[in-house]
Amino acid sequence: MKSPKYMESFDFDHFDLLTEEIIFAILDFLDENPLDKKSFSLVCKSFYVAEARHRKTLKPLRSELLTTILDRYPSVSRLDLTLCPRITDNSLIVISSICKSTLRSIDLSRSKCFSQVGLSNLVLNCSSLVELDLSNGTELTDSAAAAIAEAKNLEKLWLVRCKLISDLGIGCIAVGCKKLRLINLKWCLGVTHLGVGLLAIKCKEIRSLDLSYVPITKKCLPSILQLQHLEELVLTGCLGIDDGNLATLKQGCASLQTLNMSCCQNVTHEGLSFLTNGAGNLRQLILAYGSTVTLALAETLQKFPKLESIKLDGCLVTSDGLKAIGDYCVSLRELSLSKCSGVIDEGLSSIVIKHKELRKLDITCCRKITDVSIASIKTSCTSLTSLRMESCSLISQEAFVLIGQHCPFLEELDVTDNSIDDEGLKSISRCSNLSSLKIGICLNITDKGLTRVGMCCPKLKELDLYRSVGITDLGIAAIASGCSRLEMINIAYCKDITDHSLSSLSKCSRLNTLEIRGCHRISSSGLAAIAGGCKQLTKLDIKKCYDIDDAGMLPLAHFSQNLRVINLSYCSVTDVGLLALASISCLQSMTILHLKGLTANGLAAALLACGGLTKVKLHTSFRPLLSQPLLEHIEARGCVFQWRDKPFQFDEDAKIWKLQADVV
Amino acid sequence: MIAGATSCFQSSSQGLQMYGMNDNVTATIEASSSTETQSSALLYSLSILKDKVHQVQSLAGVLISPDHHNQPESASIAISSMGTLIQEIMVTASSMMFNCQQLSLGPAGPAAVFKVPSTDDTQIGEGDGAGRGFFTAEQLDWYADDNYNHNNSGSSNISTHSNDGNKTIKNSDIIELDVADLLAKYTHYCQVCGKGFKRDANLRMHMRAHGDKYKSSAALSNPLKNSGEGEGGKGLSSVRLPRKYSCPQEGCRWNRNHAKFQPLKSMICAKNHYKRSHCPKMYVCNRCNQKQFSVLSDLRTHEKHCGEQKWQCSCGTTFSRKDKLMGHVALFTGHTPAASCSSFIKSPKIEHHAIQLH
Repeated sequence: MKSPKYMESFDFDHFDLLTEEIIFAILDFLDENPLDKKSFSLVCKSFYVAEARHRKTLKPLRSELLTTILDRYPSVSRLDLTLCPRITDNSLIVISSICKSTLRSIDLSRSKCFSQVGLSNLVLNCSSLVELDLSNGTELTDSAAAAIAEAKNLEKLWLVRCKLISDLGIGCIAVGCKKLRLINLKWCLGVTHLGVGLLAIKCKEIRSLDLSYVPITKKCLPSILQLQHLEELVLTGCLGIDDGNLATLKQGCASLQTLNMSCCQNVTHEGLSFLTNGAGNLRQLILAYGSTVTLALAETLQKFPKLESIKLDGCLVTSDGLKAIGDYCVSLRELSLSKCSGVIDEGLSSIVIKHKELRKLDITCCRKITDVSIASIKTSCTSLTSLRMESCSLISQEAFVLIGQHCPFLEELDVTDNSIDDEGLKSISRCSNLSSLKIGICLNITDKGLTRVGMCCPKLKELDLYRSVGITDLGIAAIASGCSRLEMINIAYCKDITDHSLSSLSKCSRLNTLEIRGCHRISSSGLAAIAGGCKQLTKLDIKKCYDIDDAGMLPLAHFSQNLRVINLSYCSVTDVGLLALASISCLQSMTILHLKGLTANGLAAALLACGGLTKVKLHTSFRPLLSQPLLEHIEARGCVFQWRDKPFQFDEDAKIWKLQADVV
Repeated sequence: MIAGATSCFQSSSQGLQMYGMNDNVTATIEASSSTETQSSALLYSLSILKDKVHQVQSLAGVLISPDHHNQPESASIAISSMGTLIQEIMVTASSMMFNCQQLSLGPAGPAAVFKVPSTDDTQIGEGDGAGRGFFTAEQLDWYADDNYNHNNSGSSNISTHSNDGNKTIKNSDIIELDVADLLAKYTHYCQVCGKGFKRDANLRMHMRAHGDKYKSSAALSNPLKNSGEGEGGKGLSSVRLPRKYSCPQEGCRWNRNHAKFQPLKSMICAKNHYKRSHCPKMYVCNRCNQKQFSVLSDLRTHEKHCGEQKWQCSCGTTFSRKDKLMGHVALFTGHTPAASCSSFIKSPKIEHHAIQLH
């Protein structure tokens, strides 16, 4: 025993040596798992206070708790309210009175039930509000826009799908928010060229402008193109613009870097050249689902020496056009020809050969491509990081071997619905940077290839084995042991998967998305293992796992506190299991068609108990069984019912399914 | 002629009750009738006028008499009856005026020269038109001079009129009606029953009820057009000059005596101009309760777009169109569109989408 004097020196708290900045720096590393910070804050009072001062972003689950949590965290600058289904004006008033000028960013994109009253209060008190996301605010009117206009410091504004806002509201915003840098008006059907023109005249700082599906005409384009700092312009689906209109444009925008004119069938290369006149800084051009890609279009690309990314998804491509693109572009990094008809080896090879710096290539559904193109790719594009070639059915098995051999830097590979076999897979596993691998509907692969992947690709995060029926527990076990960073795995309809795979996967602590649809051999014990091991589980799809019953639900309810989306259709879960699930506080979306033991009472109890529900998909036969006041009460809480009338379907064989799919 | 006319009129005037019957007595003017009927109609209206003025005189005596305060009811009755009488006088006078016009425009045509009296001139008829029974000074003894201050001649040749700033020879007639005529409700009168009509065509239609002879195509046809053609078109139409009109109000820019005279183009223009500019505004818009009009058609035009100012700026300026508002806002800093809730029209497309997405 030491003397008391000596004992006193041990009262000194060593943690006092740590300044707050050091603690904050430590806390910055704890961002991955939200539970870690919670544990930290529960250690002692000083840690509690430190964590409370450190937190800058909040994503609350319940709007009722807003007062307490905002009081606890005074330095919150970003508030993400997408998990709260109901945000009323009162909630906004509470937020504004507590947060005042520390709040800089707020996301209300999935919240309903608020109006301009709450918004004006928010904007009034939170004077340093810089980002405001009001997407899906289908009830917001011009008075709400007038309220937004009072936010003088606003720089980023999203108004996607705000259909009732008209030119008057946009005009108010244009005059009020002078510092606006980003504005997204996608699907704002009430806005016309008058509002957009005013926006372009008044808000000179705009960097990013998204006008997708807005019914504008060319009249606002001159003022848009005069914006000195415009970098990104999205005009998807603006059918009011066509070649004739664009011919009157005098000058283009020199600062433009990204132009997206998808779904504008009326614009051909002529219009495009007028629009991009003088845009020497253009880096990315997206013309998906537009007019035919011809030689003339490729010629216009000469004007853009900095062009590095072209996306032509869904367009009809001529061979000349493709070759010319290769010729006229200086150094492409990204090329997307997904679902383009008319892509043949000749054109593709010529591009690929000329652009050795290609990083991302997307040739999904280019069904005419053969090994010739792959040969060109493997010789030329060795620094490829992303290759998507779903459904290129003419490509042989040897080609995949070549890909693996010659493109070692691949990070993303999608070879769904191809004839790749184990040799190819083994070769591909040489790409040690691989993080996303999609080998669904590849009927020729087995555990051998997959094992090699598990051994050699430690950075793997996403694995898609949808309907790749050759896979069994062995392969999955190999993956689970080798790829500890795995976050998403899809083994739907892989018949041979049993509970062993699930217990192996439970070792992947970062797993957040699990799809095991149609795996008949899986039972509740496997699910229990997953629940225990994968605490981050967010999305779970166990449709048609007939053997999963209440015994599987209970561990989920206990452990999976992050579960947000679940599909339980056709499981053997009864009322008890469903009610157990309801205790998961962040559960938002449930699909519960054809549950074996579900009754109306049990369903009602579960719906009432689950306070955070926003979407429930269930069978129409329950509609008359639930009382109308109950339905209204649930809907008033912010939940949406989706009634489905699907009959009970039995599973089909994978091959039959594929034949049917091909016929379609 | 004069003596015979007056005796004739005296008998007729006794037989007629003038009091309270406005429209029965005024004479009709038909352009194609003979001079005799016109002059007899003229004298007819003269006698009526004479009777009415006498009655007004007696009523005025009642009102101004010193013991009027003892009988207030009779005073009010007197005032109202005086009002109706004055109205009848005006109507009769206007019909007489029209009569005179027809006489002057008849067979003699514009070749007849009438001196244009100056505004202060009380003399009316001079020259060789007297034979047609036009106003003469002797006949009009009993009229107060004031009545004639506003009466100018029906039509005259402008060639004798000297305009200060205008040195060129005018090549059109300038007609100036007097106020009563301009404001007269009916300008055409049926000679048979005395009913009044605004338009000559309506009168002709009405005449069909008076007998078969009015149903002939000659009677029904438009006299102005036909007389032009029937009498050897070229001769008359070359002589007949385009007619312009002058406002009777002194000092008005559309009055022919004004230095910057601008003629009005038709009778209707003259009527509307006089009503709009020189008459009190009796009609009020019931929507905005502010705009007042003297011409009914002006009120109707206003009502078509009253209260439709959808677009308002924060500075208070209202616009009829959205693009005008936007242009205004773009031009000035600090102005924003102000949401005015009246008539927010949702386009059907937006509503359709709204239905779909919900």
